[in-house]
Amino acid sequence: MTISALKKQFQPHPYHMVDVSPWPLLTSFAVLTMMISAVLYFNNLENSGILLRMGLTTTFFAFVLWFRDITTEGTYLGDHTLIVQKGLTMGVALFIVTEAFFFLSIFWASKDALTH
Amino acid sequence: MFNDYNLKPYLYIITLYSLSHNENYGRILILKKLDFHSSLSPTVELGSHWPPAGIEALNPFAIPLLNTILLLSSGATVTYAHHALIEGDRKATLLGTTMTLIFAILFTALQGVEYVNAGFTIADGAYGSCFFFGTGFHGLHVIIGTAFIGVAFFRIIAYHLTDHHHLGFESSILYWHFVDVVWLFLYVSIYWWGS
Repeated sequence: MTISALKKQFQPHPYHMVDVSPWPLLTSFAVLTMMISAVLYFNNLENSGILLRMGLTTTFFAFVLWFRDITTEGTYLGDHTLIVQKGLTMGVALFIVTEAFFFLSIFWASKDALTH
Repeated sequence: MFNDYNLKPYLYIITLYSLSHNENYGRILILKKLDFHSSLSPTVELGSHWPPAGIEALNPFAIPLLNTILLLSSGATVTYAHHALIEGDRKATLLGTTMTLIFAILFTALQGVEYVNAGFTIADGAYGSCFFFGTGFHGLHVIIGTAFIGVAFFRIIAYHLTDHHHLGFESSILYWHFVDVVWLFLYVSIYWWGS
């Protein structure tokens, strides 16, 4: 192999260029199924328990398969460089901020019911 | 599909809203139109009672206090595991993570016991709604956090994590501490102050 052909296999930046993946779309459908069937289940629709279990199962397997890919990328493929790790950590931190506001709304509802 | 019983919590909220802003008008309108007058008990008048009359709140110094201790301990053990991982002590890392997972699963189990034995449901007015919505979503987050740390646990066993590259584990620790803090707020405002 010539030097120029070899060079093409190296990227000139430390960022992770993700491959085409079915998991974001599959997870979206799985979570949508889970959410809708949960609402139907809470409202006592007949046989909605089966739908809910299907939603939970597809969500579970979508996550397992997606995590498997991320594990491969982070270990054997070496895609998680220091700068990528920094980005992922920031992503997790921002996600937790959104979670904090979600719980803030619940506490607000509780406080509102108590003081009105 | 939508029977009367399941509409109750929503009606309570609508009624509460109308009571607080419009006094009698909203109340008569909503109650008469939907014919729910007989199904509504005095528990909706929350201005004078919290928890509302007829609701027996859980004792915050029984299982909830134990759960607080469990979650705080799990925060300590997960920090121990993190430091052990950075030090390269595999045995201690596995011990700390295992202890964290045991505390986490115990917490979920005890919350299950509380739910089964609770004298009120999510349909019992604003109190029941707030209680089960808050603790329910917190419990869901505990389960997700347990899965998160569980994935890191199996990756430690599989030698995926090193002393300088263990982002998944670190993220799970961050998430776990967040869930822990939310519990402290829940304990103080819903279990303790709420009772």
